[in-house]
Amino acid sequence: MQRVLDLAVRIERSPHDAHRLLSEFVGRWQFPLVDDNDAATFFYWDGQPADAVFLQHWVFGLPSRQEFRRIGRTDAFYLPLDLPRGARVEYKFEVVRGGSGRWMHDPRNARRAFDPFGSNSVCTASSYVDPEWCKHDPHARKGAMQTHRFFSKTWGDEREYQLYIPAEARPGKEYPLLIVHDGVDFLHYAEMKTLLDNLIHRHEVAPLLVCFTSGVRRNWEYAANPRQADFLRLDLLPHLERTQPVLREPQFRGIMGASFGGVSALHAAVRHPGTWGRLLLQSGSFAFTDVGEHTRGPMWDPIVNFVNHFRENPSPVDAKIYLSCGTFESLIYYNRSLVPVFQQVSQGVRFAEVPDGHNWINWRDRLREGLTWLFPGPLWMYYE
Amino acid sequence: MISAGWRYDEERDEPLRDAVGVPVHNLRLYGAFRDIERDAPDLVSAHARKQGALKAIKARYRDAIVAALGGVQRQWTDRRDPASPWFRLAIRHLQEIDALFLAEADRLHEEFASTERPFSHPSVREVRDRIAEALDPCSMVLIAGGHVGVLRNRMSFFGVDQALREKDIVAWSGGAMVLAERILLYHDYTTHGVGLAEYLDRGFGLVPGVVFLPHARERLDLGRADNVAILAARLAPFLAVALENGGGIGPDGERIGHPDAVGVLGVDGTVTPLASLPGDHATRP
Repeated sequence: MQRVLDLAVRIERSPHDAHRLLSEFVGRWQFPLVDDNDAATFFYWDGQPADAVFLQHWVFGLPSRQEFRRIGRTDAFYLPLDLPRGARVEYKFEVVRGGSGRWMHDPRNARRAFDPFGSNSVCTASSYVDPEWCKHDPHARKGAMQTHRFFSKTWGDEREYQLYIPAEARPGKEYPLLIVHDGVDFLHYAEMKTLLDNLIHRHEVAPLLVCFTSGVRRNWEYAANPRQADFLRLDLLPHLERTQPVLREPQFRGIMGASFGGVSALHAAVRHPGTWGRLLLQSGSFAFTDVGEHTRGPMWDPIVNFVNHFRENPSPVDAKIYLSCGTFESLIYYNRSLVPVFQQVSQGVRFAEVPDGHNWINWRDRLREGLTWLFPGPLWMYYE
Repeated sequence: MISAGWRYDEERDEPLRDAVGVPVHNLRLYGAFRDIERDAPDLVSAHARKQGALKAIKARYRDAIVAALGGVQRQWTDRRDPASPWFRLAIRHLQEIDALFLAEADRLHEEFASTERPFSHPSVREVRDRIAEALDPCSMVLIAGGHVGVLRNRMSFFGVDQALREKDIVAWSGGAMVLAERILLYHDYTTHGVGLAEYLDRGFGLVPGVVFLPHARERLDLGRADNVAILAARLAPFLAVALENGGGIGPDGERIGHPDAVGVLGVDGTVTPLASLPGDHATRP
C-alpha cells in the first residue's frame, strides 16, 4: 500500500500533475499490488469521473462489498486488503457512476478464472503457488478421451459421459475407476485431462480410467437424491464394468465431486456401502442444522435431511476419504464439522483447508494431493 | 541392454543407442514376459499368486515398520547418540523386521522355483536360450532404471542375473539398485506424506555389501541428521551409498565423477563423499 500512499502524497503536492502522475503509476506497476507480506492493494482509475468503487468478492467472513478510498480529489480509488498466506481471491469491481453501479473485471489485471457463469479477476498472495503440474507438459504422454452414451433405467433416458483412458492402457489389463460429478466442468475449468496426463506420466497417480458424468437437472439430481445414487451404482457402474477394463474391488473404485457433486458422492457411498472405496469430496455442500430450520432454500432440504441423519447415525463409509474446502467458503464450517464423523466411520480421512473460495481453481489445485492419496502411483518404485 | 524397468517403453531405446555408438541388442525382458503371459498362463498365474502373497506379507511388513521406526525415532530424539544402547536396540528390532520380510520373500521365491520350475517350461527355456545367445558376443551389458520392482522381477524370472556374473556391466538408477545386495525403496517427498523406507527385496548381490540410493538428494531429506543416521544404522553392515547424477562407481570400487555425486550415509548423520568402496565391497567379481 505504501506505493499508493506515496502516490497520494505526490498528487497532494502537485494536484495539477495528477493525471500525469496517475498515468505513470498505472504504467509502472502490475495490479493489484501485492507485497512480500501478502498485503494486497486494489486500484481503480480509468480517467473518467466516478462516484465510488467497490470490491465484490466471495470471501466468507469479510463484508462481500467493500468500498474503495478515493485518492485526494482525483477519480482514482484504492483498497488495501491483507491476504492470508497462500490465498487466492476471485473478485470483480463495482464502479458507481450517476447513482448506478456496474460490475466489471479489474481492467488492469489480466488474470481471470472461469466458471460456467463467466469469469472473475484473480488476486493471489505472493506466497500462492500456481501449480506447474496442471500446465501442459509436452513430455507427458496424452491419454485419450472418448464420448459414450447409454440408456439409464433409473432416469429413463440416455446419459452421456466422457471417458479418460490413460496413455499407458494396454489390452488385457484392468485399471482403477474414478467417476466424476460435473465432469464436463471439471474437464473445462479444472484442466483435469491435462493434470491426469501429467500426474500419471510422473507416476504420482496410478493409471486409471476416469468417467466424467454430468447431471441433466443437476442440482436436483445431486442433492442427496437416491435416484442419483442408484443411477451410479445400478446403471453406470455395471455399464462401465461391462464395457471397460475396470478393476472390480472397491478400493479401486472412486467417486468424486465438488459442491453439490460432493454431496452426491458421499450420499452414493452411504446408500450403497461397500461399492465406492475412494471418495474425493471438494467443498461439499454438507449443510446441516443443530437446531431449528436452515435458511438456504428448498433445494437444500434433502441435503440438510441427509447430513443431519448422517451426523446423528453415522453409518460406516467403507472408503478412504479426501476432503477439502476453502476457508473463504461458508461451507468450511460444515466440512470441518464432518471430519471427526468421517474419522469414526471411514477407512481414513485426509482433510485440507486452504485460503481460497468456492471455485474451480481451488478444486483443481487440490487434485494432486487428493488423487495421489486415493490412487497413489508407482512413483515409490521408479528410479530413473 | 536391459530396459525392462521402462515397462511398455522398453523398446523406446533410440536415444540410448545413439549415445552408446556401438551396436546394442535389447534383451526385451518386459516384452518376453508379456509373451509368456500369452503362452504359459498357468505359470504366469502361479507367479502372480506368488507376487500376491508377497504383497500381503508386505502389508504386514509395513505395519511393523511404522511401529518400529517410531521407536527408533524416539530413541534418537532422546539422546542423538548412535552408540546409545537404547538406540541400537531399537535399530536391531527394525533390522529384525527387515530380515524377517526378506526371509519370507526368499521363501516365496524358492517355493515358486521348486514347485513351478519355470526354467524348465518350454516358453521360458526358449527365452533363456535367446538371451544366452544374445549375451554371448556382448562385451558389456547396460541396465537402465525405471520401475525397479518390474526390472528385478523380470531379470529374476528369466534368470538373467546368473548370466550377468561373467559380464562387464554399466547400470544406473534402478539398474544399479538391483545389482546391490538389497533393494531399498525410499521417498521422503511424496505428495501424500513422507514414505517410510522399506526393502523391496534382495538384489542380485553383484556388488556386495552395498545398498545403492540413486537420486538420494531428490528423494531423501539428507539435511536432517536423524534421517541420515537412522537410515545408515538400519542398513548396516551394508554401506548406504547415495548416487547422484554425474557420479558413479567404477569396476574397482573407485568413485567416478564429481566428489559430491557419490556419498556414504553415516550413523553420525552426515553424508561423506566416497573416494572408493572398501576392499570387500569391490564391484569386480
